[in-house]
Amino acid sequence: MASPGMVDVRGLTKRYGDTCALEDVSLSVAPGEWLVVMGPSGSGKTTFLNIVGCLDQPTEGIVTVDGKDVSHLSPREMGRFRRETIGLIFQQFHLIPYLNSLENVMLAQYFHSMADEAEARDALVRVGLGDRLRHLPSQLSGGEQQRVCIARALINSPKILLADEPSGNLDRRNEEMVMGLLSQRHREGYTLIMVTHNPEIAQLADRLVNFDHGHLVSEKRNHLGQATLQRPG
Amino acid sequence: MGWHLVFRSLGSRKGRLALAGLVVVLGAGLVSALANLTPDVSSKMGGQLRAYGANITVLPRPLPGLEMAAYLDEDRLAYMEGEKEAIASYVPFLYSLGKVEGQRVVLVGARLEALAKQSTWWLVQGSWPASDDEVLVGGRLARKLRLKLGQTVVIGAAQGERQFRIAGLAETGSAEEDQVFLTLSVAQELTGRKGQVSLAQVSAWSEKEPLSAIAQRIEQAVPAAEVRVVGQVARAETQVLEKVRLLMLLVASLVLVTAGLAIFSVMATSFLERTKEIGLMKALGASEARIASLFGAEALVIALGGGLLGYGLGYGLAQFITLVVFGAPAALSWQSLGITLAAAVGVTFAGGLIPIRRAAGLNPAVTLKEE
Repeated sequence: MASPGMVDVRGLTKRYGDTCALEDVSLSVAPGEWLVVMGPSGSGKTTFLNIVGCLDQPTEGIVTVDGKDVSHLSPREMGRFRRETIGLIFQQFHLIPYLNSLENVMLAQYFHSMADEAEARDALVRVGLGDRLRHLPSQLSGGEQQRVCIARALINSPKILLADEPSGNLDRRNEEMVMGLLSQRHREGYTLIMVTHNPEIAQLADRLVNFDHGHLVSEKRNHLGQATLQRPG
Repeated sequence: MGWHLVFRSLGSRKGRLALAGLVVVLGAGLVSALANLTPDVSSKMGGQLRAYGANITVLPRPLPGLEMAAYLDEDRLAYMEGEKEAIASYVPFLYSLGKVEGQRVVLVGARLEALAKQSTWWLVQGSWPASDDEVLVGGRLARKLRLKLGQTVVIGAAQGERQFRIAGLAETGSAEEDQVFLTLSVAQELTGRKGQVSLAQVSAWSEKEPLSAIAQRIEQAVPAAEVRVVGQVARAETQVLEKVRLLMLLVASLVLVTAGLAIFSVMATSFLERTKEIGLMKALGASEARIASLFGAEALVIALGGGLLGYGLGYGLAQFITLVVFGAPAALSWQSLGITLAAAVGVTFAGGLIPIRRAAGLNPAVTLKEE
């Protein structure tokens, strides 16, 4: 390997008691690369994403993100690293119900450094929510909530975006819109790691890895990268 | 953003906030009522106990080698007028032998209006003498001499005699029933002992000092006086007040513990409901300290808001109780406001500490995964 990746995983194993969620996984993600992680339920994809996203720690192995070994960080150091380096996009959106779109985005700024309303507004305008700034999550559609989640993930200019089934709860139209936004961020140079069950979405990525029972079982480079998600009809 | 977040969060949980607030208001209300009542009840009860007679006696020191009775200087006793805080009342007495309708009796000259205040348990038929021409006659003596209420009698002593109207007949259950009470100045005139008194009975009480200290001051101020604290009365009073104080302290402690447990359960439930929100905050990189401070600020707002409302409620309750029981309102005490707010904040934080620490220590990966 000539240059270090944005993410380097070597011999990653994660056990919960007697259950082995991941076993001896090694892979690298290059800066600016879009990696899709696929596999059946319980195959270890979300555990992999959590460990790379510093939400969890490996039992064994070395995980390096943006040149920093994050395998043995304390919870406090993990939190600090997360807010500086990682943008998280969730299947369930996880917006605070009593805060409007703008405030939900500003919350990430507040935990990072300092809330800046103008910057948060720009981020929402960029995801097409300029007219939904003061709406509460309950007043937004699923697609709109996911776009607020994307704006929140991007607001602190993270080095890497991690998305766990970002379109899992969306209809087709919203799925296309959200994938369009993520493709655009990828084109802008963001490193993107995404867990999905959807093979069509997997086609958009640069590379696809498959997990099964905690093992990395296959890897495929995708030459259709940068295609747009369009379906007949 | 921090306070904005706190108020948006509180505003979004009006039901839960109302419940938590209510618990704090009620707890703080009871603490405030007790804090307002405790000093007031002690002083008011002390005052009330003073209505049940004197607890200090001032006597002339016996003069060695002289057989004649010694007397106190009435003017020197007047110093006690200036000790309003500690001395509720004092009654100078002049005892002498005299004659009523030719019969030998004990004449007692006294400051009758003060004696009336110190002797609230006397049963007086008619009224206390309102002028120098009136007397109060002990019931047993009246029966013995067949004296009637309103009757005019001639009373004489060493220096002359005078006509008096019997304004009242007194049943006291003790020696006073055989005595005749008249105003001090008239008694001094009839006996030729102007400005002299045989003894004084003092009704004293202070929260700040023991009776012995008050007695010592009287002894220093009145020359040739021997001042005795009526031990039995004083001890009984002190014991009653101590017991009342202890009782109120126990009730206040129970209230605090109960309010603490109620707040703990409300806070714990509130945090359990919000584990996902806390997990998200942690996933976004919020430090444990930041999360604890946000939830701590919520608890502080609830504690101060509830504490202030509770203080008002408790003060009203204390006013009501003292008005009903003692017939006088409780004094507003800023000290009790401090105690109430400190108790509200202390109990809310004590109740919220474990839930807050638990919430701040949650693993975001686990909490976000839970559906």
